[in-house]
Amino acid sequence: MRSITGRDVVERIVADIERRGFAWDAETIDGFKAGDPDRPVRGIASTWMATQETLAAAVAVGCDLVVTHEPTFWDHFETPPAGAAHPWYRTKRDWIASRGTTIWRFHDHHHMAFPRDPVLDAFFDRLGWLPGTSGNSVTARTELPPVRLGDLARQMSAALGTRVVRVIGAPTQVVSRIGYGIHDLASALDAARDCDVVVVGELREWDAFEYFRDAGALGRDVALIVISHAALETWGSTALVPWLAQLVPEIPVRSVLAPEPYVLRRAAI
Amino acid sequence: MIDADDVIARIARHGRVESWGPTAAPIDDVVVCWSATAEAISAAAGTATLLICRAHPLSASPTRWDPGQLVEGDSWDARSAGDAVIDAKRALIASSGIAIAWAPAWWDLERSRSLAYVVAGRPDAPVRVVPGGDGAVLVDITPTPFGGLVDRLMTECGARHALTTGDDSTVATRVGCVAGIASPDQIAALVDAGAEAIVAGETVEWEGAPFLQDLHASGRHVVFAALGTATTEQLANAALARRIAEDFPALRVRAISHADPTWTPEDLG
Repeated sequence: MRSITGRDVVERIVADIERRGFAWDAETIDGFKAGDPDRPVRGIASTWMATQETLAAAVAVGCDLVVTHEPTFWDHFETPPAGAAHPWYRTKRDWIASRGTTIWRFHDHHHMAFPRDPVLDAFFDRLGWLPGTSGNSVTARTELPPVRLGDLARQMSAALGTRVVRVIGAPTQVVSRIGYGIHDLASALDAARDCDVVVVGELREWDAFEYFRDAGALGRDVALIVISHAALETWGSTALVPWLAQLVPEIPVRSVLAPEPYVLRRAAI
Repeated sequence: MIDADDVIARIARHGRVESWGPTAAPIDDVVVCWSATAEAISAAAGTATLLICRAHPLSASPTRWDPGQLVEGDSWDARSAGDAVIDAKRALIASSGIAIAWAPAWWDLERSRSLAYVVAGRPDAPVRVVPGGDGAVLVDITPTPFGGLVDRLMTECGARHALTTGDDSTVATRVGCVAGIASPDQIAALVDAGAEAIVAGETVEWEGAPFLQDLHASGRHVVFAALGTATTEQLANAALARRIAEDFPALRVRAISHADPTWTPEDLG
C-alpha cells in the first residue's frame, strides 16, 4: 500500500472542506511552513503553537506531520524576525528537518470552513457555555445565570486551567451576558455595547484597557476579562483530532498541547 | 501669556500631535499623563490646563502592530460611531474646558530610557540604544536573579501583575528594555546585543512569546517580563514634564500616573 504523505493529508482536508460547500481561499496564510510535504507521514499531531518544545513532544509520540494553528516562525505572516538568514531561523528550520517533521498551518480555514467556528465552540464547550451561547465565533453572545464578576473570573480560571486571567471591572458587579472580541478594541466594541462583560483571548492593552478603565467612570459598567491567547484557542486544536482522524484513518492522529507561554506573577503585598 | 498651542507647537517638533479643546486659550498648568482618563479630565475641568497624553483619548484603534508608529484604522470612525463610552468621553472632553494634546511620538524621547533607569535603579545609568531595535535600549545592572528583579520592578512601577517567561533564578546583568509593546524584531535585536533579560510592557503572544520559548529550547535562556504597557510607558511622564518645565518656566507642570486597573481572581483571596 502506498504511504500517505503530508500533501495527501492536506488534499483530503481541502477536499472535505470543498465537499461541505466551503471554498478554499487561495489568499490564505494556511499552508506548509516547514519540512517536506511529499515525505511519508507516520502520525499527525494537532497543536495550537508549533514551538520547538511542542514539536519535540509530537516527535516523541510518533507524529511527523504537525497541524498547527499559529505561526511556526514567530510572525503571523511567517516572516521571521531578523530575517530568514538569521541563525535562529536556520536553527529551528534545521531542527525540524533533522526530525523529519513537516508542519502545515491550519488557521484561516480552521475558523471559517465549518458551519460554526470550531475554535470558539471548543472554548465555549470547555467552559460549559455552549448551551447558553447563540451566534457564531466572536459575534456570539452567551447568557448565563447572573453571577458576580469575581466569581465568573474564578470559574474561568479553573475551567481553563490558567492563572492568566486579568479583569477590569468591579468584582462585585453582577453580569450575565457575555460577548467576545479578537485582539484589539475595535473587534470588542460591538460586544461592549450590548453585553455586561467582554471576554478576549489576548488583547492589545494600549487602547482597549483605557476604554474599559473609562467605561465605569462614564456610567457604562461593561467589564473586561482578558485571558491568554493560548487559553482561548488551544481547545480548538484538540477538538480537530476526530475530524482529522476520520479523514486519515490509516495513521494515528493525536492532540499535542502547547504549553501556555506565560507565568502570571502577582505583586508582593 | 502662554497658550496651549505654544506648548503643542514645541512638542509637535517630535511628531504628530492631535488636540481637542480651547488650544488657543492661555494656560497656567500642564499635566503630563500617559492616558487622558475620564478621571484625569474631570479633575482638571474648569482650569486653564493643557493635558498631554500618549494613549488616544478616544481610544482610536490602530490597525497595525507597529511599535513607535501609530497607524489609525480607517474603520475606527465607523466602528466607534454611537458607542456610549466614546460618545460620553467626547462629551466630557468638550465640557471640561481644558485643552488635550495626544502626542504619541513625543513619548519616544524618554519612553524606554525611563524604564531602563528604573531597571538599573539609577537615574544616571548608561543606556545604549540597540541598533535595529526601533527604540529598544540596553542597560547593565548589578547581577540580579530575574525573579527578584521582576518583584522590585513591579513594586517600583506600580504593576499589579507581570507576565513572565523563563527561570526566576536566571541571573541578569544586561537587560533589554522596551516600554510598551515589544515586537519579535526588537526582542531579536536585544538578544543579539547580549540581553539576558528583557523587560517590556507587552508583546504579541502568538509571535513574541513563542520566539522566547524557542530561544529557550535552543539554549538561549533569555528571560522576559511584561509589566504592562501603561505601567512601563508612564515612567516617562516625569522626564517629559521636566522638558516642558524647562521650556516654559512660567507654567506649573506636573506628571501624574494611573494605577493598574486590572485584577486577577487570586487578588480577591
